[in-house]
Amino acid sequence: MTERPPDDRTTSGHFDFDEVFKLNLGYVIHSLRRLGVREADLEDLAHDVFVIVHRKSTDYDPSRPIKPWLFGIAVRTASEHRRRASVRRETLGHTVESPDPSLDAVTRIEERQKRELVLSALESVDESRRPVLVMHDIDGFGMKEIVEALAIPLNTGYSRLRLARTEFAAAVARLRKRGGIT
Amino acid sequence: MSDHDHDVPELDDALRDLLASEHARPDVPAEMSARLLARVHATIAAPVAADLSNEADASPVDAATSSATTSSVTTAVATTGSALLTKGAIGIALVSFVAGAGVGVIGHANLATPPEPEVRVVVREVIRNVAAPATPAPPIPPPEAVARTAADAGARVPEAGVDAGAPTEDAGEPETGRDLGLADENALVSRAQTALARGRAGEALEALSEHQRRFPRGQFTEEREALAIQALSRLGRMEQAVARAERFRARYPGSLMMRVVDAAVRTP
Repeated sequence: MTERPPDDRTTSGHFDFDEVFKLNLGYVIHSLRRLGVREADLEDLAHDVFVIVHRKSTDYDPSRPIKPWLFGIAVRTASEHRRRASVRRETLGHTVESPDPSLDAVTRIEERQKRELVLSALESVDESRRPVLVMHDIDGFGMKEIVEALAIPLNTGYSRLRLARTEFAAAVARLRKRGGIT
Repeated sequence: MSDHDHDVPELDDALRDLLASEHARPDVPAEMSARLLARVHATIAAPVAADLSNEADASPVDAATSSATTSSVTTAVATTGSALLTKGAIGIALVSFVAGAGVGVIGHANLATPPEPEVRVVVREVIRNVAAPATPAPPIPPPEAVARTAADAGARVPEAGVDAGAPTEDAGEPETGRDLGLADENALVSRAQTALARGRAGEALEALSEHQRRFPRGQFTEEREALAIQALSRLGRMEQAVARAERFRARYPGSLMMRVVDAAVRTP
């Protein structure tokens, strides 16, 4: 499991929207991508997430870490987006990120391939289970925080993680075999 | 209990490394961050534009008793038209003629008179939420001038407890039609929240009914329902409040607003 992220509670307990936005936009963007939102829709959905964040800010409990709360909003926003529009499967290749200039070209290509593999494999994980896998195995949150953010029972969280890991592993194996990736 | 205790299979090292690589993503470009923040502020600050096109068809879902609002004006113009006889009506008339005068009276009475076609002219106006104004409220713009301007953004009611960064001159208009939709939703729920805070539960329910009509499955449905339950409770409509609270609990079992919903319907 990845290292647990550092405590990211708002610094003073007071909800400064602009500060929350600037510190967490990247996390929200990447979370939406991992939840299957197309590159072309990322800015729109991130905008929607933060409008909702602003509206719900009085409901936020500052004693809890903010990222799981933001992720929960991102999950619902992405789900609503899928429900409203028939979204075609993303053709990978387009990215909002700039290549890291400190890496050599070969490493950059390898990193890009790795990302494409992860995102493609995540798309094979059932929509209801993907958020748990992302929060647990990519973001490093504990199951208690995950089930609170997603408003699901604890046993459901573990059940979804179990199934999601199986689906993810199978997808990676299949994609590697198909693409000749090692 | 650990993951292992819940029969969660371990990830092998290769998969763990793969997922770890996804964890370490670079931050978004500063230009994108600034652009999006401005866009969000524009949406938050935008006043709602009334959609009056379906006002006559609005479902009375928990509609409040009307109270004075700063809101909508609809201008309706009706035109009359002449009744048209359909082939079926002609047939009935012929039968009636053959059958005699008495039957003819009955037949004539049965001729369907099509409803007079009606033309409604809908005026779309900008509604502003105005807090206790230090200066007189600006005049409502003429119907043809439905424009959300930066000046309108300045009339937004700030939310207590949130340093939202008051709209600046740079917080322009929502950029796209999709942002306008979310802005309208946001503004309607804000209007309801403000009305409720000021003890105007009826006005709050009006705004929430409009939200329900225009955005039945909008982004702020959960907030709408929580506010509606509180408004119903304050109006003494406890049976409706309790019923709606039950539906809320079923639909949003882990809601952070459960506490206020429970408090609204709790018997003293």
